[in-house]
Amino acid sequence: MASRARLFKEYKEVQREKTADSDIQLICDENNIYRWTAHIKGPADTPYQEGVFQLSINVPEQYPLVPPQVRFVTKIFHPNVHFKTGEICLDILKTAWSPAWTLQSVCRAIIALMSHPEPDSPLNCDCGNLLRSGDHRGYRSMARMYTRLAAVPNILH
Amino acid sequence: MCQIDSQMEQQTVLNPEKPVRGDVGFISSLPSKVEKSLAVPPTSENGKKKRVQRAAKLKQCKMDARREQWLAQVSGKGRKSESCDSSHSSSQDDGEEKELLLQASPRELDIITSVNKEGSEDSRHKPPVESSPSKAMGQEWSDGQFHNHLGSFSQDIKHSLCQHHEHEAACSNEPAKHSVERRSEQKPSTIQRYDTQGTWSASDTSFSQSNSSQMSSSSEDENEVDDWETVADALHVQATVEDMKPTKPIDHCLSSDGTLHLKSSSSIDADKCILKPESKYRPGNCGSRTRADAGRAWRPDDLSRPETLPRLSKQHSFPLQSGSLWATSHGTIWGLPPPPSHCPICTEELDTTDSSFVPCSCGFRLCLFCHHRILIGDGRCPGCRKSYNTEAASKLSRACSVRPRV
Repeated sequence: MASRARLFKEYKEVQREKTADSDIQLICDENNIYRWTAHIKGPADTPYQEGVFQLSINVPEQYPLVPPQVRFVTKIFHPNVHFKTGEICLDILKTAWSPAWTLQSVCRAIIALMSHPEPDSPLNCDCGNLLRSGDHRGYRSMARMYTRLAAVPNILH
Repeated sequence: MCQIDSQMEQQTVLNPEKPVRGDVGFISSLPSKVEKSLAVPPTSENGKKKRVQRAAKLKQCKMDARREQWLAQVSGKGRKSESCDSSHSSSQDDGEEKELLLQASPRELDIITSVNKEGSEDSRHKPPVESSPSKAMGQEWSDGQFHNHLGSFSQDIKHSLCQHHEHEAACSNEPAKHSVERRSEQKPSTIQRYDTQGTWSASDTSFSQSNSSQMSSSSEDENEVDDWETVADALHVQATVEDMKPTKPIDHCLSSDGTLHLKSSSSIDADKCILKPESKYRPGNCGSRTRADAGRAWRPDDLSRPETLPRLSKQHSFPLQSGSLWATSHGTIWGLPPPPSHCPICTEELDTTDSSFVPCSCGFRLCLFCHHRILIGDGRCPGCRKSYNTEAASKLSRACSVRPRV
């Protein structure tokens, strides 16, 4: 029940600050408060800009004592995101989780991760290898391509 | 005990120029007692003198034991309870009296002893109006008619109040107390016969209640203090309204002594609530004490503050008052930000216990439930991710190198 109350509070917070943070759009499932969908804008000055990425958030019962399970629904070429499953390698979603974090702050952390990839702990080995080999240009072009293919709305439509 | 007390009261009344007891509650009881004695001629006391004397001695033993308890308690509690006691009704038992006695001056002692030697017969023959006032309070309370007599006897009350106040201030040390008690024993008093048992029991109840409330208020719980303050305010308003009308003489004479004033007004308050005698008595008693505790009555710079007060009430009421003020006004003295109203983890409202709970040096607050759950888990502070038992762990690691990480 603690998780439910907490999620309700976060829901209210999201409704209240909907316009405050235009980069993050958190949508709660109508029938299940433990299932959320987030739309995050790709940060500027990254290959992900102009893209809108969909995240699926699965909140466990023990939340907020355990982190929510977040994965990319939209395909993204990023060293710390599994290319097929969308799994995200992010410490705050694993060991560094703190109950003080919220779904909103998780989304913000993911945006930060998109700006600052960590090639040393890759889930996408191809992407990680590009960065570790210093081929930033290759990484950027690949990432931009997948962003345009999968995440830019006007191209989708 | 009750009987002895009543005897003592009567004794006190009989010698109005040298009141033995400074009890505040006693004052309120005066008028009713007057009626009592008027109704019953004092000569009836002589016949039963010896019998009562024996009984009184038996009770003296009990009283001694009880006094020992009281001394221990009082010394443990400090003087707060004492102030509470002094604010009590005359029917209250010897603990209070002892307190008063401790303050006695030698002159007072002499007076008391002389009175004692002279015997109670003399005093008994004095006009009943003078002698009676103190005893019947309990009965009056039980009858719920105290206010009826209030107006007519207010003048008497006034006189006796002043006397009592003086006496209270200067009154008693241990020997004096003994003498008083002895005196009261020797005299068979009509009080014990005429006062209903209900009266004394009622007063006892009120006493215990007031005592407990005193304890609770001294526990420095902010909420409780706030509650008491609101109660005190309400009672104060009522008292001021009351003061306008019939109680004026009382108030006037009382201005010399703050405690007395409080008592009388509170008792008047009690009259207003027309219920059972006990319930009537309680609110007044509590109210008076509350007002004193809330720091309303006598600040050190009060002009009307009697000089005699410091010895009796300043010592106990002052620390209490300052403590409560300190607690309420300096809630965030430790430099921590004010606690959030809700737990950031579970969003439940933080109660006072949770609000005062700062488990981590980073100042992150959370409710005890969440803290417990986190301790069961990884045990790290949500605010800074440091382990909650870092200090304990470091000590432990130093001792047996269980956990090297700090």
